[in-house]
Amino acid sequence: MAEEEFTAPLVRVKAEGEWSSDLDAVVLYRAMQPFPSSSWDWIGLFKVGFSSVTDYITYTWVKDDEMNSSEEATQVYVSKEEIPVWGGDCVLCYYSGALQCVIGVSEPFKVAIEEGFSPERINDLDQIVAGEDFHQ
Amino acid sequence: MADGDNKSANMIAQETAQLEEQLQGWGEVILAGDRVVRWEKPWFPGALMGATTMLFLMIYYLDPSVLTGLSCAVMLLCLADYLVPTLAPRTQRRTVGWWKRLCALKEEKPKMYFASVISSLLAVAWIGQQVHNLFLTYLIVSFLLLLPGMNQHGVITKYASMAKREINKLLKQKEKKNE
Repeated sequence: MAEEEFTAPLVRVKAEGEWSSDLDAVVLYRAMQPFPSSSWDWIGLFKVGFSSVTDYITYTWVKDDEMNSSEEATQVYVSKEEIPVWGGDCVLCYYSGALQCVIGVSEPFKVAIEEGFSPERINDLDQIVAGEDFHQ
Repeated sequence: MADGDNKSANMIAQETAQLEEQLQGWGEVILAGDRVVRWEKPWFPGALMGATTMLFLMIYYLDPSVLTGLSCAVMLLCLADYLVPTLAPRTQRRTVGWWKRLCALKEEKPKMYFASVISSLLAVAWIGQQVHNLFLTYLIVSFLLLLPGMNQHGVITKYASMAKREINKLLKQKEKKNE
């Protein structure tokens, strides 16, 4: 099977508006070049500095949660329940099921910390998450 | 972009309005049910399990015939279908999504599709044979009732991510062996 190399992303992804765990969010994506779209495409929310494509915070199937589609961009809905309360710097990645790789990454953006979360609480959460990774 | 904002907000508002219309009479009942299923109070899961257990013990004791059991089950399904807000549009989309993904898998990777479908059906058949009928139904119903609560409280995501990490580890080891 011939392999093609692409230098430019096939999809441009953008997080719309302010993201926080008490608001439903919207992802915008737009195909920069024609690519085989499949129902196995997903957009994942990753922490900046993620190690692998499976290291996502949460993901959403592109076709399932598609809202409006226009020439400009397609909107994908992300439920507030999947957005982490601890916020932080995140990126969105569009993974293509057909091509089995990430074909577009968004600019890093900040997810707001949920109101009422103190720095100590976030530290505790960080430690718990780090502990889980350590046991791997 | 502002148009897009309005359109998406409108769509969500539309879906919510439609739902509200459909459920006007049962609004209160469903709200109460929703609170229970989301484990608003810590004793809710306990009460839920208690009620389910009572129901199934009753069924076990009454021991209805197959036909009676079947029609009661269908009756409950109709009731549930009517009460539960037609499975929030999102859940419906998800199920439709999975159906489409299954069909896509069938077309793109037929061998993987048949392997997965047949092995999962075999597993389900085996389980059905091992566990007593009614007890199995009880387990399934309890699980389904506890599912939204567990989802809400991140229990499922925790175990799912644990499982995914284990699978990744296995896959990586396999890759290393192949190298």
